[in-house]
Amino acid sequence: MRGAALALLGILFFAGSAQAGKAKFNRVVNVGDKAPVWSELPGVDGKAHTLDEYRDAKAVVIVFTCNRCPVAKQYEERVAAFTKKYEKRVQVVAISVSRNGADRLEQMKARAADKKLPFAYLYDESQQSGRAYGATATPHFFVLDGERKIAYMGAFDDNTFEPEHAEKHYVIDAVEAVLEGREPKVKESLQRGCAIEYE
Amino acid sequence: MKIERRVSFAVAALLMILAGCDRQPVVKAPAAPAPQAVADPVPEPGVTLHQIDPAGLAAQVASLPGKVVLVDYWATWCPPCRERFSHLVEWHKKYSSQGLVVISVACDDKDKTDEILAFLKEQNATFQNLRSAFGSMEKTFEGFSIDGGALPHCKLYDRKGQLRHTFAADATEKRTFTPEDVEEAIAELLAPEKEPEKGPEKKPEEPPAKDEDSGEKP
Repeated sequence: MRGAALALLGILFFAGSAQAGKAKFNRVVNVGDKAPVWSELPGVDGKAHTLDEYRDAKAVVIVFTCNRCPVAKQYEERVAAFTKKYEKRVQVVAISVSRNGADRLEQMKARAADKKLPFAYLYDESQQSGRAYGATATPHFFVLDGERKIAYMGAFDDNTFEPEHAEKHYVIDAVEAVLEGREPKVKESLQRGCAIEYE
Repeated sequence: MKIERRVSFAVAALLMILAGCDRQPVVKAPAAPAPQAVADPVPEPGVTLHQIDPAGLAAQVASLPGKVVLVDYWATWCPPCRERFSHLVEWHKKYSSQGLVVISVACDDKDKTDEILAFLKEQNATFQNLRSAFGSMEKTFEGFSIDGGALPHCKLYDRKGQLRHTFAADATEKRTFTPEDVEEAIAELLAPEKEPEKGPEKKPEEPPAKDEDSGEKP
């Protein structure tokens, strides 16, 4: 009950948040729900960012991630390549809600510069965005369509450590579907990674 | 008859697990069923590692009637799992005489076997150590019902083999579970069941006493 009450409180912070989750792998939001929005989050570029500022993008990919998790790091290159490939049409936004010392904004800035990360990388110390999306793992992906409804959520692909052997490319397939104006064939998969620690 | 059937099932379950052994020699099953040896899932001395799938693990848990079973899902790539692992060793030492059985399941690929074993030896993890037959793939997370797809993750079964607590990543919880939460739940399940108090006379309209331990952790 306490957890549910807190989740409700968290959702109230985010205008347009989702209804109670009926998804297979997400307890807060479901595919088809209006994507929860955040007011302003600081980015590694030193500016504050909102979801609304990406209104021209045909699709938005949100990934909850962090500096420290080895699985999240495994996906950095894949997400960077994806960002560059779709840069004109799709906005990629990485959000860290981690309060671990290694994941603070200054450390994020250092990593983004070192790895030349091409996507927006935002820090949410309040953790409310993670709660509003029901994010549990790093990395945890959400594909938003043109109306900013959740079109897909879960993993990027089906092979964490050997990307060349991945057979299912969930996020790419979902984005391609959104860009073509159709629903993704796979709308949800089980995200895999390090647990997001909520405090 | 029931006990015999249970012992046979336990022996079969143990053989299923050993059949998937990664690198240790297969331990021969005893010629005659030895209930005590089967009930205690630490048949080999030292640190060992065997491969298992979800059906095998379910059989393993079912073969431990009378035990409280803690299954910890971890991985070499998971920093908090490694940080928390020493608690498993501590609980194994502290509570095994009271009926706790600790089982660790590594969600790592097969090529990480040496790394897993080195870590387990460093930790002196002399309980039952297993590695998912599906490695770090999504089949592991779905097959073992690792809610939220995130590690660390623990499941705690009572003496009847019923899943009583799931400790998972959950954005709806006030805070992420801690080792203290897990230990508290272990102690609660190990505690002897309280005899219902025999009052002088119970009024028929009184509601039944509430079962404090009912159900899985939400």
